[in-house]
Amino acid sequence: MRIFRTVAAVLLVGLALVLGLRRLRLSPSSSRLRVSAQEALLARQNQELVKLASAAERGTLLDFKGVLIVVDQVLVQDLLRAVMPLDGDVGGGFRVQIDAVDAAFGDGVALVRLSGRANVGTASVGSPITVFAAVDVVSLDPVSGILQCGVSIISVEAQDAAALGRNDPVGRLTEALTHGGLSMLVGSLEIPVSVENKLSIPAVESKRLRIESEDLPLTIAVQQVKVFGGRLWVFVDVALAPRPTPRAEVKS
Amino acid sequence: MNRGRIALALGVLASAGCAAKGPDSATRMARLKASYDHLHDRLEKAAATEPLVSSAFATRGQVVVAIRSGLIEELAGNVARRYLDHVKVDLSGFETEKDGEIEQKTFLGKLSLGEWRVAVDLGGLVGDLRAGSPRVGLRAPDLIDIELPVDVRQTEGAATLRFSWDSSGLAKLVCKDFELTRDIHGRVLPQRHVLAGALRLANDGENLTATPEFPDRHVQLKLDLTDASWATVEEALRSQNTSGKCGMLMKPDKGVALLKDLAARGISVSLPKKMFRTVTLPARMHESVKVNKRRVRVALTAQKLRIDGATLWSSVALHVQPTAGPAIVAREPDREARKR
Repeated sequence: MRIFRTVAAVLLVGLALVLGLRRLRLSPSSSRLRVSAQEALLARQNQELVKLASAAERGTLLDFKGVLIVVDQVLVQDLLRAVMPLDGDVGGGFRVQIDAVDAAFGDGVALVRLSGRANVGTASVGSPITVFAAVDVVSLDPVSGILQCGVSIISVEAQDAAALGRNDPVGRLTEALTHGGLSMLVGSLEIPVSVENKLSIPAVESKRLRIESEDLPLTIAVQQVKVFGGRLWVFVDVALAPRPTPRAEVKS
Repeated sequence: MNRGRIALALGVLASAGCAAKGPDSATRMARLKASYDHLHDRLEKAAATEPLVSSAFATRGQVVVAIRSGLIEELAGNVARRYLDHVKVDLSGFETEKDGEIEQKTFLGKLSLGEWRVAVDLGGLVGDLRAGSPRVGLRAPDLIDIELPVDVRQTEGAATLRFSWDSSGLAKLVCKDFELTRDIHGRVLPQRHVLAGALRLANDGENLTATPEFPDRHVQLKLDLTDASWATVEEALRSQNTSGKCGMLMKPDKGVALLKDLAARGISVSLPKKMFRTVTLPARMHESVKVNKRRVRVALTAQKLRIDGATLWSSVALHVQPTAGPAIVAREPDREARKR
């Protein structure tokens, strides 16, 4: 009898732990705990604003030594609008069509708001959705030096979540978009500016003068990215790499 | 004991429920909003006092590129050095010459006895230039000032001396004209020159260029002969110092001094303008980019370029062109994408 009681107690504790942990998990599959898009955005902005405000108060907000590239939110918005609409199966059985985009680069987050519609498979019923995403991966292409941006999910809102099925469909849609769905839709975004890894001095070829072209190799790397004032601020470290010099001959 | 275990289980269940709920959404939002307002206010006030931030916001265009003076000066200095470093100036065909008249006072006044002419062909001589460390500084609105020291290394090579005498007037009756040629060995003396100029920065929308402006590209190369060659010159002049040749009128010592003066003054070599080449800075704009594997065209219009304190600001207005073609139909993410 005592053994039964002990087993029952252990099972009860185990059940409690499982239930508790499931609810504590802040995963999109937990609809009650999923924070609203606005809340997720504010939390992230606050996190970034602390760093920005501290840097500004120290006078180091734009403390750069090499190159600073400043990209206006309107450009990113226009580039994304140029490829609208975007349509595809994003995983989890969802099909998403994005046909509008707005960009707002303020207070620490390069927010990209994608609006469209989600359907479950080929069903005609679905829901208008808004995907809150952020430009948060910025790098230079190692060959061309072109500035490249990646977009990641902050949260998803569905106007009519019930139309997307049961069991936390918005959570499942968010998960699908997070794990490859959004990159399928939006993919990589190039900004039309590059920082090349060399400085080229052109050749001279004339009757009396012949000098070969020369490349001064540079090391380049995105050092950090800040977002405020409607702009993306990309800090790029640029330095000359040492190299021997060639010879030139001048015939006077 | 059992009661205790059951109580613990119920406690865990209860705490899981409580933790899940926490403060209600409205309260959380209110706290976050209050915090946001405070932080935003702090950022705005502090940013307004930063000159770089003000400068950036004052620059129009969808893409602004700012380059710090330290980097520009380093790049410009290296480019300028490359213009003139390890440059060999071939002096073949260069000839330095001097001529003059010898007159004699007579009771009739000054009479011309004749004209002399000395020329040195620098056939085998080479000027070997090495650039030193330049002094570089930014000058608003768009210039990079450069003072480039150029060291000329000592080099030696073959040269040819030609000396001629052309008698005139009464002297013609007693003096023969003569011309002598001697192979000699000359040298370019070690010396330092400073070339002053600038690189003018420009923004054509796509590229940021630096165009050299060196109005005075002359280098005065000082020359000399080897001791043996001076002896040869002196001996040559002395050999003409006989009656009937009138070399005596042109004293050998005087002739050598004349040549030394000529060499010391050197020859002026003008470095070709083409050596000073326009370079494109490594930050560039592009008329076409890929957005999710689709090519998007962008029209570029150059905006301002200016040097403001220790920073070069350059900006471009971009107009994204409408994209033709079908929309991307994305496929369901594959397993790899899902793993990522």
